[in-house]
Amino acid sequence: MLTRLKGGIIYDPTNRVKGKKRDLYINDGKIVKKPGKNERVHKTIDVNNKVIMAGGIDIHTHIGGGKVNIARMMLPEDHQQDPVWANSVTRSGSGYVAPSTLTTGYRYAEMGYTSCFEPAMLPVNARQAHMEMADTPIVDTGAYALLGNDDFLLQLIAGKKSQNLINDYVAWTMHASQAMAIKIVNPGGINAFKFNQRKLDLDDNNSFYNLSPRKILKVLARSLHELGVPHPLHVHGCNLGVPGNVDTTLRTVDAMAGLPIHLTHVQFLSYGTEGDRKFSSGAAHIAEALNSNENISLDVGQIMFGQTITASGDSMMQYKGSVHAHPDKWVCMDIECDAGCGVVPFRYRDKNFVNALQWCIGLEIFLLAKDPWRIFLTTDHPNGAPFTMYPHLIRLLMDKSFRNDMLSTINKSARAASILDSIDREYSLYEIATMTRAAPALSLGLKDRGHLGIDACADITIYSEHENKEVMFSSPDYVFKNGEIVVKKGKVVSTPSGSTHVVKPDYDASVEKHLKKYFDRYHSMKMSNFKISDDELLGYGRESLVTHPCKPN
Amino acid sequence: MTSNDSSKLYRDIVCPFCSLLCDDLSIRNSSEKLSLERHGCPKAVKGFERNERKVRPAIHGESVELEVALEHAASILKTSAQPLFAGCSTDVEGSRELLALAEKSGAIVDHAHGEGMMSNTLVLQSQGWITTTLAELKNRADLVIFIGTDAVTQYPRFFERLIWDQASLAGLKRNARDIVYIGEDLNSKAGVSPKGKRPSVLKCPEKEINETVSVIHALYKGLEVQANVIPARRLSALKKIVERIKTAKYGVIVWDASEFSATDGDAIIQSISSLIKEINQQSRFAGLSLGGNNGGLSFINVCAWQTGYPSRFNYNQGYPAYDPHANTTKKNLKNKSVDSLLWLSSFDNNLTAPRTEIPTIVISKPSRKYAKEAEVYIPIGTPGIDHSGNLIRTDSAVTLPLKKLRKLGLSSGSEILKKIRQMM
Repeated sequence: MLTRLKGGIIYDPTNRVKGKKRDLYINDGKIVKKPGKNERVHKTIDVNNKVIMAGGIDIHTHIGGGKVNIARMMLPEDHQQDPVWANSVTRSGSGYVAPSTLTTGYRYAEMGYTSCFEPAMLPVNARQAHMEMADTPIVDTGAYALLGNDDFLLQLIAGKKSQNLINDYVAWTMHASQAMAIKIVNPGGINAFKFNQRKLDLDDNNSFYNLSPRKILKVLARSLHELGVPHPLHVHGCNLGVPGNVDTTLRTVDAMAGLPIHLTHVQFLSYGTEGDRKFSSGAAHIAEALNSNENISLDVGQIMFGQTITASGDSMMQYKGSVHAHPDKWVCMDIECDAGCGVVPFRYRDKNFVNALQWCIGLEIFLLAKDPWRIFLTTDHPNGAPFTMYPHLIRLLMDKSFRNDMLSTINKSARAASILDSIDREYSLYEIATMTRAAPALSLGLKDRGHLGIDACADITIYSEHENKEVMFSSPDYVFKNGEIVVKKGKVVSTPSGSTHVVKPDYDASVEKHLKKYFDRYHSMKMSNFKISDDELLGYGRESLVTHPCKPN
Repeated sequence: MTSNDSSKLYRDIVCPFCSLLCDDLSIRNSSEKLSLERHGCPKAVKGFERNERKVRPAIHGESVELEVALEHAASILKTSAQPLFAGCSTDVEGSRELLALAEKSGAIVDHAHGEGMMSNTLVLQSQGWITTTLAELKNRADLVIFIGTDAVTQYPRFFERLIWDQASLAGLKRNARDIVYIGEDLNSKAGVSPKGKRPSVLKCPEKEINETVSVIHALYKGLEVQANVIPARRLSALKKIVERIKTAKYGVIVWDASEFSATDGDAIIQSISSLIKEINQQSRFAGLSLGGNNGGLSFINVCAWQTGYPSRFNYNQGYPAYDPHANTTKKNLKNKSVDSLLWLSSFDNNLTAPRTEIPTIVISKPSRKYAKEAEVYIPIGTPGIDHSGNLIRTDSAVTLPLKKLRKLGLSSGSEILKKIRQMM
């Protein structure tokens, strides 16, 4: 069925379309060219002067897997404040900071997002992560497999095995766990915590393997580069949350010597030690590093004030942070010689100096970063705030007077310590479309997503322009998924299943000889049962499996 | 998989009959009869080698076509003001369909092992914990303390696979592992190492376990404990345990909530969790909770991701209303606050439906008893034998795939539940 969206204003940075009035045509789930005179348009939807963007893409959101489910189980009080009723279209569930899977899918779609990527899938927990995402309706999903604290890789690096063998293992892991990228969390540190180390800086050694985070990072970043995986190594660095970690982050950038990496939720890694309270903003340094190093991209991990829960693979730093748990309950877990996790509820308070400055630091990074193609909008859901705060965050970025009103209400000392009120920049709709659509698609290698060119997948969001950008981005007029209307006037009207995105680099299958021995000797499961086949994944209830190609070497 | 003329051998098969989910079994199918060829335990033999009788769907003891039984089940649920879905013993796929049907029916849901699992959950929801998983235990733990459980009675291969198989990624020396038991009537034989090193066994009645754990905590903190609080002999044994805890590189405390009484299970687990958190200020220690057999761990995990709550909620008002104390099978049947029961059981033949006067739909492995007694009876197969599926292991970290090993024409629980839902 050929559908025309008539009269919309298109924001499509991939194709350099900057607010141009133009009709858009959809057929068979794709965006198609303007039909010839003899071709019949079956349906015309009047979207005169409405803002049209591709469906939103969240490059970093914890939506599936063991630690997210622990967060859900831990917080009945969170869900009880936000019950979600079933209706004739949608199933019931609950919010808010750790919403149920079904509610997660609906709320993302209602905000105009059509793809969400889980950034911290433990390979050993991949089945559950994918099954949870299969129960997250409407949106496409995918996941980044966690490596860099698994004993197998650390053994390879410590044993000075070849980069080729390591590359084979990385590629094998992506196949086995059905991943689309690789993430590293506190390199070597989660493993070191199991040996009772409580801190691991960039050049400290994991005491058992005699390996530094620097070494592990370089090996993995090189591996992804050599394999040609579109998204570079997704890095949650050392010393997360620790004052002074901005130096560690800058040294991490230097250590890469031009190799591409993505620094995730960098707000949590941008803290200095200046001032009376020995806690200051390192945002300017981080923005400068981003602006001057083209091999770097980042997402911010903005915090918002209120109750949330932090769920991270970084068991070492989450244990350290557990003294701040609010309410006072928390979980740490060592997991299967693979990784770990820590789940700590937290309340960010606007009158607290540190929290208020964290809020400023995130916004400073957004506003000082020059290239919206290399910075992505995230709250590291739910760690900085639930994803449902995105419209509010967009308003903070687009509306200086609103931002300054908010700034005037926070802790005075934090306000004084921040340069935020001196920054005049306001993001444009085009820049928002870049950082929430075009740029994440480019970074992840999603060639037919994040834009509105011919043959792009018809994932489309249509907003009514509004002075209050929070209102505008909270409630799109229409959202299309694969050409089907899934949201009207901000409410879900249809709940198709999304697809799973994967990347499958080539590798030498003889790596399985090493792996089989390792599994038989040390693991609690067989290698054959670790691997997830395509058929199995589709059997969880996904629309399709979309495999993206690697870049040629 | 290899085959000859009359039989097929399946390797690396996952055993679904306890939540340890051993996945190294070899099972032979000879003319649709299964036999365990390699690895496994008595529970596995019993589970895999059981010959299922052919039992037809029935209404009030009369055999009927499947469609008729499904219609009748749907009509019971449609007219019921407050259904109860209990048992809930199934795989991930069955759990997903069970919730979809429960939502449509406005039912209360509670698993057969809800009592024990909820003792854990209440601790998770009040203070949290530090836990570990099977491979970490196997590779790292130099001290393992069993509290109120011997593990082997319910999980026969626990020691074989995780304690005495001492291949270690963490440099743990063979025979360096110390085993401690605290509890009564525990089978401590498995705790003797292959070289004959004996475990420490501290006999302690269940009602005194909580106090004993608290005394360990106090001694660890260096507090004085009056000998009259507990017997002097036990106090000196506890002091030795505390000294060992202090030197352990990676200690693990193992418990099984289902072996504690429902009234003080969460209190004991809370004390264990507090002790572990205390020790971690100095050195590494973690808990390992055993439990959630009969698909229990899968069920509460699916409940948590689909609703936010680990079971024991009521869909009656159109959303999952959680109340871990009110939404129990036992209380609702006793108080007659439900007017229909759907019982689902797909692993253990000894997991039996509660006796009740209200209309009961039993969906279970072939059972002549239920075909006679239930208002509606529908036979189903076993996940991992009659159909594929997934189960979540006791440590909640690993999900293992189940394979179809034979063809007896038995439907899966999820297929049956879906058909009933489509008739509603």
